[in-house]
Amino acid sequence: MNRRTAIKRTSVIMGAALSAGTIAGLMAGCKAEKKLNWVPQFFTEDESKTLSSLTETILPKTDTPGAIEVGVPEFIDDLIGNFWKEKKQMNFKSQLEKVNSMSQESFGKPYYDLSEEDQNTIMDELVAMAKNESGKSFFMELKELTFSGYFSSEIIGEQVLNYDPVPGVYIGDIPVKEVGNAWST
Amino acid sequence: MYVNFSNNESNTFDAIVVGTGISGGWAAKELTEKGLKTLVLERGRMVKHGEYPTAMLDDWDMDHKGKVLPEIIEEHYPKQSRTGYTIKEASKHWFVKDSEHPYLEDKRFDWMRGYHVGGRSIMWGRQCYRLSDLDFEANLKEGIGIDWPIRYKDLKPWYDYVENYVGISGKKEGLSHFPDGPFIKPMELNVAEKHVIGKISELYDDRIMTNARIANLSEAKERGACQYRNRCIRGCPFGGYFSSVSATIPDADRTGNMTLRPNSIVHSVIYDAASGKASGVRVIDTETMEEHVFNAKIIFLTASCLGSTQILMNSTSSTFSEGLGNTNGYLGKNLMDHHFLISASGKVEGYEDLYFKGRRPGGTYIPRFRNIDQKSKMKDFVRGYGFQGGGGRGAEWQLNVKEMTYGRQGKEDLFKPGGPWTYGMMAFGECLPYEENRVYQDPNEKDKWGIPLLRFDAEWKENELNMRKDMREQAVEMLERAGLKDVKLNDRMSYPGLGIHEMGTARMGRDPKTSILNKHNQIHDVPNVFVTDGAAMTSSGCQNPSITYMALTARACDYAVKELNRQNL
Repeated sequence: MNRRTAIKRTSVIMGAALSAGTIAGLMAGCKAEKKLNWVPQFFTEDESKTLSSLTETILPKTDTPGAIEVGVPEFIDDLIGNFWKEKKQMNFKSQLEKVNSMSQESFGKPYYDLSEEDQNTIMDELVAMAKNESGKSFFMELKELTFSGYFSSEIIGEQVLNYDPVPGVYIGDIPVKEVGNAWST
Repeated sequence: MYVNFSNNESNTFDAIVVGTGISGGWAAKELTEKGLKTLVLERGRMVKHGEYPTAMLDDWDMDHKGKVLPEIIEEHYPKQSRTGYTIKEASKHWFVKDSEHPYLEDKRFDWMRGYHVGGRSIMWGRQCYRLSDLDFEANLKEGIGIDWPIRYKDLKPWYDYVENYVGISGKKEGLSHFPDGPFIKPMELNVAEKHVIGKISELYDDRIMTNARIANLSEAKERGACQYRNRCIRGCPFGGYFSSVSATIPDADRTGNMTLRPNSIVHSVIYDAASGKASGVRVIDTETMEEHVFNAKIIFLTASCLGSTQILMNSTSSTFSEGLGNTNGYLGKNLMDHHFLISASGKVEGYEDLYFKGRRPGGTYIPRFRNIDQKSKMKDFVRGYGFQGGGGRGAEWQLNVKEMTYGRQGKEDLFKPGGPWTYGMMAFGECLPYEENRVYQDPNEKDKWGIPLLRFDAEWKENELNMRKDMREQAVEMLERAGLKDVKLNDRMSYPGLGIHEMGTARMGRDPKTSILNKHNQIHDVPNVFVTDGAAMTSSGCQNPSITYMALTARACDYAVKELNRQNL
């Protein structure tokens, strides 16, 4: 049994005694190893580092996991690499490049080497640009991809959101406060 | 027990059932329980109850989070993927590969199907609404198509019979055009749905909204109760909904009278001119490619509307050069399906302190309310439509994702229940029988077993298109009058077939000159062959049809065995 499975089983036994954040924190330790093994299938290493940092800026690690530890960059690499049309793929890549040139211009470093504060400055610029765009902006694209990968991840789905694989019952008017977090699937 | 593959198998049975979907499962159960040694043939692979490989998986347990790669869809599922929801890792093994099972289209036709024991009873929609005399009398009253040879009173005992066995969760409403059955308790509704139901009842006296009538068990019967996972399409290890593999086939097996033979394509029915009856079927074993002949006193074709039609078309002889029982040319004509994909949804205000638990299959239903009496008569279309609907509530993150925000602030709130309650509903409309809407054998192209490919030529016509205008207006009007906010209409074109309610290509009728089947689903000219699936339908109604096929099948089995015992077959 690997560490992940062990924790998954333990957390089932301990149930609600552990807060979602605590469990996710424990789980995050396991995922860090996986991240080292992650080989991008579509993006270059440099693009992957930029993409990873961008997703982490959108959903940073707090009491609950950040985007990187739950595998959002891998998810986006798979989605864009395998499911998008070439024109859209190339456009996304050029947007990543643009983020790095903005970072270089302002701070002399690529996005992934910036401090969180400086990354936020660049992200604020992306938001400002998005507000002036009529079509789908890079920021909104990035945010949707990040949320979609994050909330469909195993760690968030099983340990942070309210995981209820076999509800056994339907109740149509349960008080919100009795539920805790929203359901995961 | 299940499968008899021995080489010296006896090739003669009392009965042969072709297909194991919702109709074939019933034929197998009824005939074996009545003591007939029955060969049950299935063209696809074996599946036993419980063999549902994806039933317990979450999206994150599957490659690509359950999405199927575009190159796989392009190569194997270009047509089967037209639903948008079926070709996923969770369910694609229940659907055929177009690359192996092609068909041809003069006009677009979405022929959605799966070849395996259980057929589409594994991934069916499970909503069960009886036809009524409003439906059985419509063709005659309006001079459209031909008259049904039966009325509601003929089928009512059989609806009761099959519904008692299936287990239908639902609420009695006491409407003659929306007949009640022996329901088990309805599934609970949520506050949004109750709100809309209350408003509809307050605002309209010509229609009701009620609980969906659905073949999911709100309480345990011989099978387990629904666990509210809403993963029915994957197969339910709890037996929470009715399918051939969870119910009828195991019961047929228990009699000891069933021989189930998967991987067996029925090439054709063999007609014996001397006796004026069918003697058996010609089968191709898909694993060995060998041909076998099996004989029986009676044959039930329950291979789905188009499956049974294809077999009949391929069953040619000097007596029936255009297909078995097809002396009048009606085989393959009057192809029908329900038109749908018009929906409206909106936000229900209030109830912010309430949420739900469980993922319930099915929600609400508005039975037909157009053209049911003089008052509800429409000037630019006949017949009508119903609405299936449901409400729910999401999470904060689903709202937040649309905002231009990011980062630490408010992040922990993303996991909370949030946003408004929403409610939405979709219309399903009746399609009239048109002779020119048809399926036929392609004169040149054949499948790898040498059976001519089916070619489709069907379209919606004026009545359906006019009805769709009213569907659009009513969907929006009802929700707006009910006080929902931001009501949005979603109107996509639906092509014939996508309702997955194909019907009518070997219709029942009173006159052998204009129909293939009589009032007992017997081929007029070949009395020991019965067709009891969607092919038999004389009109389509707007109701989900499976429960009607079940009732027709049980009724025809009862008649067939009585006739056998009277030595009339």
